Amino acid sequence: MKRTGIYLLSLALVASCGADGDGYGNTVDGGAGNDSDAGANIPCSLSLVSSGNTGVGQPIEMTAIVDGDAFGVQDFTWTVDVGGAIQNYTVLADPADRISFVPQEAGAYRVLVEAVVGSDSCTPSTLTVGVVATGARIASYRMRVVAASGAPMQDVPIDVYGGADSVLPVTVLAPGDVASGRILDSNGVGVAAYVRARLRDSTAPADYESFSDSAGDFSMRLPEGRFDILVVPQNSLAPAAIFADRASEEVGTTLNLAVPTTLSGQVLDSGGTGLAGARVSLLVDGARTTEATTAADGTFSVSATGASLTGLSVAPPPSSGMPSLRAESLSGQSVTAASNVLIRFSNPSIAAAVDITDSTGAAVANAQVEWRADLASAGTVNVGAVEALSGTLRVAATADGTGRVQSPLVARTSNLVVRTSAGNEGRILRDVPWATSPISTLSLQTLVSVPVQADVLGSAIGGAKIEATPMGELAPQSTPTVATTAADGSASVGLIPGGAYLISVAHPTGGQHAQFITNAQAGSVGPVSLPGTILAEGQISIGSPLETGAGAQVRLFCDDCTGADRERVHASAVADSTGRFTFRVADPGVDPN
Amino acid sequence: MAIGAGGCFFTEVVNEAPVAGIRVLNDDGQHFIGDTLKFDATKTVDDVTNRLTCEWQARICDTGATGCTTIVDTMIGTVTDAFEVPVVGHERIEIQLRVTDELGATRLQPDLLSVDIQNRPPDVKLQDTGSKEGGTDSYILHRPINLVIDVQGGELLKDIDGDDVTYTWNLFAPPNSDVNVRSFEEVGDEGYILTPDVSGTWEVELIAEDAFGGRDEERVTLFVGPDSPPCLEALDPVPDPIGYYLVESTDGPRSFSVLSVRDVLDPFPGPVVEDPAFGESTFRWFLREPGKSAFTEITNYTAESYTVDPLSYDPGDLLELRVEVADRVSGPTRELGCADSARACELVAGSQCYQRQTWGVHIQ
Repeated sequence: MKRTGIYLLSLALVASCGADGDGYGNTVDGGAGNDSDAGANIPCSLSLVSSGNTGVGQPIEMTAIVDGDAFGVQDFTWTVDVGGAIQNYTVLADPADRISFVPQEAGAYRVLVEAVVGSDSCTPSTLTVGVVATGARIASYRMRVVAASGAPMQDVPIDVYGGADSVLPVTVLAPGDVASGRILDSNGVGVAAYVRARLRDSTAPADYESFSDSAGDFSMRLPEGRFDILVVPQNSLAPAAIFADRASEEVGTTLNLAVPTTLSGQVLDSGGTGLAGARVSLLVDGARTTEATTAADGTFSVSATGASLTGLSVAPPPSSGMPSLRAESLSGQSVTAASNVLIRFSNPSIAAAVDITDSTGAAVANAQVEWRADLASAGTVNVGAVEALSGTLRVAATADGTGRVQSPLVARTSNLVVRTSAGNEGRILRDVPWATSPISTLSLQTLVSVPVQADVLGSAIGGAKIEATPMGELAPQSTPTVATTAADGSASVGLIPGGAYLISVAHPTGGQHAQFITNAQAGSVGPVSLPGTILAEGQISIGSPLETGAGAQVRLFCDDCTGADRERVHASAVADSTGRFTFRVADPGVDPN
Repeated sequence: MAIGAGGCFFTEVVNEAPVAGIRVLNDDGQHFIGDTLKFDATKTVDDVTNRLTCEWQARICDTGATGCTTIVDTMIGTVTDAFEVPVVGHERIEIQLRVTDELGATRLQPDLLSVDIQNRPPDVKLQDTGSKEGGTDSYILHRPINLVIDVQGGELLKDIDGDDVTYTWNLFAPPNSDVNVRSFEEVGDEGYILTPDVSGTWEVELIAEDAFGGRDEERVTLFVGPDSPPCLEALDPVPDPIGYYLVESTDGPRSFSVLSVRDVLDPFPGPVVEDPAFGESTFRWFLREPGKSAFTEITNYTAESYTVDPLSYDPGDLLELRVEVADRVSGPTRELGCADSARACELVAGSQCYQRQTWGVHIQ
C-alpha cells in the first residue's frame, strides 16, 4: 500500500449526490466524497460536473448525471445562485441535463439540480463553483487538517483569492498507515511511554505522537515516509531511546529498549562544593537519560543507553539564584559506567535586594519579581576534557510585607520584570547591574491603558478580540492580555510600561490584523483597520476509494511565518457530515490595476 | 229518418304557458365564495314546440332582510343558454326563471330555487421553532421559541373566503412557571415569542375565527428542558489520561488547542454567518507549575489555545495545562464537581461529554 502526498482536485469539479440540508453556506462539493445517504434504497441519484472555475463573464457549463434504477422521462429543475441571488441560466439539452450560465460577478456560485425520473424523485445534488475576481490578490496559507479518523494530520498549502467568496479545491487526504507497535524494556516487559514519530523530511508538518499503555502497546496513524522514533518512558523509569530512520510500516513493530548503563557524576557550585537538589539529565547519543536529583554532596547517577555525551541540562535548586545550564551539542566525549561527569557552575551568587514601591511611593507587598539573563558562560562540564556551558537565569521571587525582595543572584547584569500581585502596576528594567549593596529601590508605574479602535473601512467593530502578547523580556511565561471591543469598536488593554507587545485584533467572524509595539504607552496603538472578510469553502475527503472527511478539524496558519506567529490560527472550522467546511478569512482584496 | 240540426264544432287550441324548469349545472352540494353557479332552463316543459325565451334573475337574500330583493345578475336567453352567477358573498342566493313562449304565454318557475353559500372557516397551523438539544425534541430553557401562524389557505388576516380573521392566543404554562419571569410577547400579527422560565411541558393554543362562525383551533405541546453543557470535542494534541507530551526547547513554543466544542447554542468554532441565536463557548485555562500540587488559573486568558514556551521552564519540568469550557447558561452557574487532580471531568457522569481536559507536558 503506497500512497503519497496530498491530492488536490481543482478543475472539473464533480458534486456527489445528497444536498446539504441547511441550504446555502456550506455546500461546497467536489470530485470526492460519498454522502452517507447515498445508499442502495435510492432509486436514482444525481451528480454534477462543472466545466471548471473561471473568471467573471466566462460561461460555466454544468452537467447532471443520473445514476440508479429509476426509469422513465427525465425532468430536471435547476437553481443557480450567488449569495442567495438567483441567476439566469441557459438550458443546453433536452432533457435539460446540461445548462450554462455566465457569472456577472465574482463569488461562490451554488448550483442545485433536482430531477424526477419516471415517478421517482432523485436525490438532489449541489455544487459550488468559485468565480475569481479580476485582479484578485492571493493569500497563501498552511491549512492543517486533523481528520476525525482514517488519515493522519496533514498540512496542505492553499491559496485564497481576494475580492469575493472563495472556493477551495477539494482536499484529499492520504490515509497513511496505522502503526501499531509495542515497547519493551531490556527485560521484555512492556513500558508506558511517550512515542513521537518525526518525519525526516524537514518540510513535513508537526510530529506524530502517541502514548503506549502499561503493556507497552501503542498505535498511531502515519503518512508514508521515514521517521525517527523517540521513545520517552513515563516517570523517567528508563532512558529515552531513538530508533532512527524507520519506514512508516516499520514503526508498528516491537521497539526493544537497550540494556541501560549507569552513569555517575557530580554537580559543583562555583566554589567547588557539591550542590544538592539540582536536577540533572544528560544527552547520550542524542537520547536523554533518566533524570536525577543530586544528593547532599552533589553526586548523581542516571541511566543511559549510549556511549558519548552530546548534551546535558542542569536545573539548580529553586531560589538558588543560579542559572539553568543547557547544552545540546557537546563534542561527544565518551562516557562509561566508570566515568565521572563533573559539572561546575562558574560564578558565585550575590544577594540582590530591592525595595518595591508603587507609583505613589508606597511599599508594594507581595510584588512579583523576575530576574532574567542569558549567560554565554555559566559553567563547565568535564569528562576528561573541559567544555563550556551556557546558561539561562530565571529567578522568581515575591516581595515580603514591606515590599522588599531579597534573592541570591548569579548574574551581575540582568533584566528585571516586576508586577504587583493585583496586576495594576509593573515595570521593566533592562541590563541592571545588580550588586550586593546598597539595596535598590524600584518604583512601579501604572499599567498603560492602550486604546484600540477596530474598524473595517471606517465602520466600528464590536466584539472584536484583542490580544496583547508579551514579547522580549516579558516573554516567555507571560500570558497574553485579552479584551473585547465595545459596540463602538473601542477597547483598551493594560500593558506594562516599556514592554514590547504584539497586538492582534481579530474580527468576530474572522480576519486578523497584527501590530507590534515596542514601547507601550498611551496612544501608541491607534485605530486598527481590519481587512474585510470573505467566506472560503472547501471539502475534505480521505483516501481511495474516497470517503467523506466528516468531522475533520481545519485550521488556517500563516504559510511562511516563524516563531509564535507560525502557531497563530487565522481561521478554523469543522467539516460537516459530508466533509464540507466554511470559514471566514481576511479578504486579500484585488489589485486596483 | 229525421236529421237534427247540422253545424260544425270549432275547437280552439289553447296555448299553455311553458312550465319553467331549472337545471343546476354544477351542483356538487356545496357552494362557496369564489364559485360560479351555473344553470340552464332545459328542464322547462312546453306543450308545443315553441321558441322559448328565458329571463333569469339572481337575487341575494340580505342578512336580516325580510326577502331577497337585491338583484345581482340577470340574463335573457334560450333554454340552453347557461346563466352564470358568481358567488361573492355569504348571503343565500335566489334564482328566478321566467319562460315565455313566442305566443306570449309566460310563467315563473313553480318554486324559487334557493342556494345556500357555505362559510369556509380559517385554516391555520401553528409552527414552533427554536433551539433544541441535539437529537431531541426538547427546547432549551430560557431560549426563545418562535410561534408563527402558518396560514393554510388565504392570508394572515383574511381567510380563503376573504373574511377578516381574528386570533386568540392562550398559553398553558407549567404550574411552577412565574408569569413575571417568563416571556410571551406578540411579534406583529404573525406570532408570539415564548421564552420559558421553567422546564416542563408547555402548551400554546391558537384560535382563529371569522365573523361568520368559522373557527379553527391549533394547539402545540412544547417540551422544555435545560441546556446541556458544552462538550470539549476535539483537542490538539489529544490529551492522555496519564501521559506527558514532550516539549523540547530546541523545537520552540508549542500550542495546546481546543479545536472544537459541541454545543447547540454555543459551538466552537461558531457559525461563519453572524446569528444572534448563537453565542460562544468560553474557555478558562489553568496551569499546574512544576513542583506545585494545585492548579492556578491563568487570569484573564480566554483564548482557545495556550502556548507553552519550554524556555520558561527547566529541563525535566513536568507541568499540567488544563482547559475548561463553559457556555452561556441562564440559571445556576455550573460547577465541575471533580477533584482538582482529575485530568478530565464531565458534569454528567458517563456522558462522555467533558468540560475539562488536561495535558501533561514534559519540558526538555
